[in-house]
Amino acid sequence: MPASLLISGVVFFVAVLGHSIAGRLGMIQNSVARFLVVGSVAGLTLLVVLCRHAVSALDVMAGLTFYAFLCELYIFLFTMVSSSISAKTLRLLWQGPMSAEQLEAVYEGAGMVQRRLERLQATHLIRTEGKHRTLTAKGERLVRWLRFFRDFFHRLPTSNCPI
Amino acid sequence: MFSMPVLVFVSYLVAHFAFYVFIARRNAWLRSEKAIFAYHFFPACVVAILYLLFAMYDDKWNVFVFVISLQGIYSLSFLELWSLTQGSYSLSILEAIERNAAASAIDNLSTIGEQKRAARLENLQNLGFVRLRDGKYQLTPWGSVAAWCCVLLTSLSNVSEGN
Repeated sequence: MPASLLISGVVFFVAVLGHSIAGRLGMIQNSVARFLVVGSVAGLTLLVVLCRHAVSALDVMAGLTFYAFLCELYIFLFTMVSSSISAKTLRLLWQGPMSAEQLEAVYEGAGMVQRRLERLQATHLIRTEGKHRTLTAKGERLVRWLRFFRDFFHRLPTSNCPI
Repeated sequence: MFSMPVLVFVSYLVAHFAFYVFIARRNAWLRSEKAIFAYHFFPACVVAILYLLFAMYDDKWNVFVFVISLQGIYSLSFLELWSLTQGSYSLSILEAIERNAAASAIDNLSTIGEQKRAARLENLQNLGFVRLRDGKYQLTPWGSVAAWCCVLLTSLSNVSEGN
């Protein structure tokens, strides 16, 4: 096994620890942005270390690519765990068995919409004026990108959307 | 720096993507989650085996690590975007707001949330993570492992729960 693999693994572990500590210290509320900052600093450090110790350019590329893959996987996993209904159900059942009624109470539909609206507002994708909600410029850009990728993947708009 | 095996792999990635863009995405058979996952998973397994054999034969472990990591980044990014355009709950809400849907219509999105919850619970049961016993849902041993991973990841990344 190349040493660059081991070095990348260690740097990734340090980046995850840094992300965790920065979160507990309340630095940068957005968890993805927080990891991008910590992960970039760790990635630059990795580049310097690999350039000093790697035997070939391909060693450096392998180490950096492996680190980038681990970072993407980590971001995917923690964003999924924070927003996935399945992950939330597993975490709830981790605390003990629940009846269908208890689960329904947690996932009361209007509450789910409300929490997402709050989140969209906190991330500056929508603004609320009285009872009226509109997209911000950032939200409009996101919806345009969504349409682009939906066309690209040749998909129809969400079929079960009641609106 | 870019040896022949690396160039062969990059050519394979370009061909895989081009095949999707020009041929596969227009076919209905590739619009289900299982099919698009298989479209990435099985070729990735073949690539992994071939490059593993190559690494064992020629002691080129840096090539193996580089190729596997690049494949991981490509497939993970692709599948994330694909699933995001398929049915993200938050994006459905954003689109409803963009269409100037009335507040009551946005509240109707709660029905999607309820459908998602029921579908996810059924999926977890089908996967063998959750079982119904004495009128209550509880984790199976595999479900406990998955739930423990979710709890660990939430705690480690310090992300807020978004459901």
